[in-house]
Amino acid sequence: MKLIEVQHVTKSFRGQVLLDQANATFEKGHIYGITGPNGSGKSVLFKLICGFIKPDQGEVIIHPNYRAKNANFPSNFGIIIDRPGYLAGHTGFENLKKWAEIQHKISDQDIQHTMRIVGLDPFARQKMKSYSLGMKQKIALAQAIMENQEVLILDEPFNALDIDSVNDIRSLLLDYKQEGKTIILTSHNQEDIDLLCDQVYQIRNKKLELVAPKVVTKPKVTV
Amino acid sequence: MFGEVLFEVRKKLTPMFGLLWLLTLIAIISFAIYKSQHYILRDTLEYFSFVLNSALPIIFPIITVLVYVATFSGEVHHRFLVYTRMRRPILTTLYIKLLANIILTFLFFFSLIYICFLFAYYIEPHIGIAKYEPAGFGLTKDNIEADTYTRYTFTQLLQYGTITYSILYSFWVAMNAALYAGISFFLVLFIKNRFLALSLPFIIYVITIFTLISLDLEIYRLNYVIFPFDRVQDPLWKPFIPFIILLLILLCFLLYVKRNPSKVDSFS
Repeated sequence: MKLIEVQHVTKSFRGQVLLDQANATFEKGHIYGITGPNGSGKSVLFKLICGFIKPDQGEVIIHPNYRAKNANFPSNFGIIIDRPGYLAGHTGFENLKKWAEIQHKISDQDIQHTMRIVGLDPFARQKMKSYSLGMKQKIALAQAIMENQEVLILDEPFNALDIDSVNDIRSLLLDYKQEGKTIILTSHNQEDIDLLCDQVYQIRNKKLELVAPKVVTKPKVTV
Repeated sequence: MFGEVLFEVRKKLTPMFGLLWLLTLIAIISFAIYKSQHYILRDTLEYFSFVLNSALPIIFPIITVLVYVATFSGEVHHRFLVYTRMRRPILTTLYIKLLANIILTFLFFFSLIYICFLFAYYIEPHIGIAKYEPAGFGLTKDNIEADTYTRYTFTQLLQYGTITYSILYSFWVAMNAALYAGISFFLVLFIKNRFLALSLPFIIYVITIFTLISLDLEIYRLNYVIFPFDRVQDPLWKPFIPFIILLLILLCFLLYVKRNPSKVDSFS
């Protein structure tokens, strides 16, 4: 099933073209990697997919099952774009609870469970302003997955994580793929891309190119 | 959406909110008590003007920002707002927060001004700190009431009763405060520098006051139209001129964001 289709998308900022006639198809149940140098437009592509910004030309088509009713944004998407977001004066749990209160889909126990999955103590009283970058990244991951989102758009999800956490999250993402979830991620670490992704798109010279064919099986990441 | 607005309002009614309200009230009344010891006053209306016409007209735009917009700026600055987008349309979130901001700021200032009124009219006369000598101002029992009707802008309303005046005047200040808070809310969205965005309402307030003085338009000074205790009485429509201009600015901001949400950097 074609979940997301990027069709002939062109996007420029202040006269500088970042993406030119970009095309891509993301199917359900696969992990996709997006690579490219800094500033090549990976985050912009993610923002286009999420509907945060509009393309100058072309369109991004989201499958109707993954579009919110009466709203112009994708539904059941978990995202990390650019960098983590948070309220500095609140604990990690309080931050996640505030996001969870918007849709009321999950309980406090679900939030606590997700925090443990990403390696955070749900009962820590530490405010997020004193969190390390890695801990903030884990909160970003937790909010992206805590409501059992079926599509994960993850911009540098392994950024600032220690090696054990990287392995845990890699394993988690592969499990999600087995469950039929769709994941699109960027990473500057080629190992992440090689281990996790079924297909890889590269942004080069403003073009989005498919650089690796679908690989049937991947070795399971050992934790 | 109404339920979500109430939820947001309830969440922001924190001990910090109460503390800010209490500290502002204590500061205003303490200053008025200290200042009034050195003056001989006409009546409780003049005492009420003493209470409000001290530091409040200067710090007014700062407090309007502190009630809600300061914490909202944290949500924008640390990208908390961005991660609400996959859960609720950004414009819905924006309306909820804008309305919560307006309601909270309104309640904050309405109750503040009304308590100041109750203090000046009912509590202070029992304590007896201020000295009242209406005769020294040529006022007698027969003409003091008529004098209050023509003393300051909005005291025309006293002829309908002190309660009517106090409610409507508190409403007026609260409405202006909510308007300032609404404009500050959008400045936080538009300006990346958080400190500048939060300071700008105060800076513009001060600059506008001096500009209007230099243009001989003192009558429309932002501090005078909200706290009109240093001037002779003006017709009731005059304070509405700056109010309507500011309201139009707020509506322009709202319309721009509604039509161009993808152009607002704070949203992505």
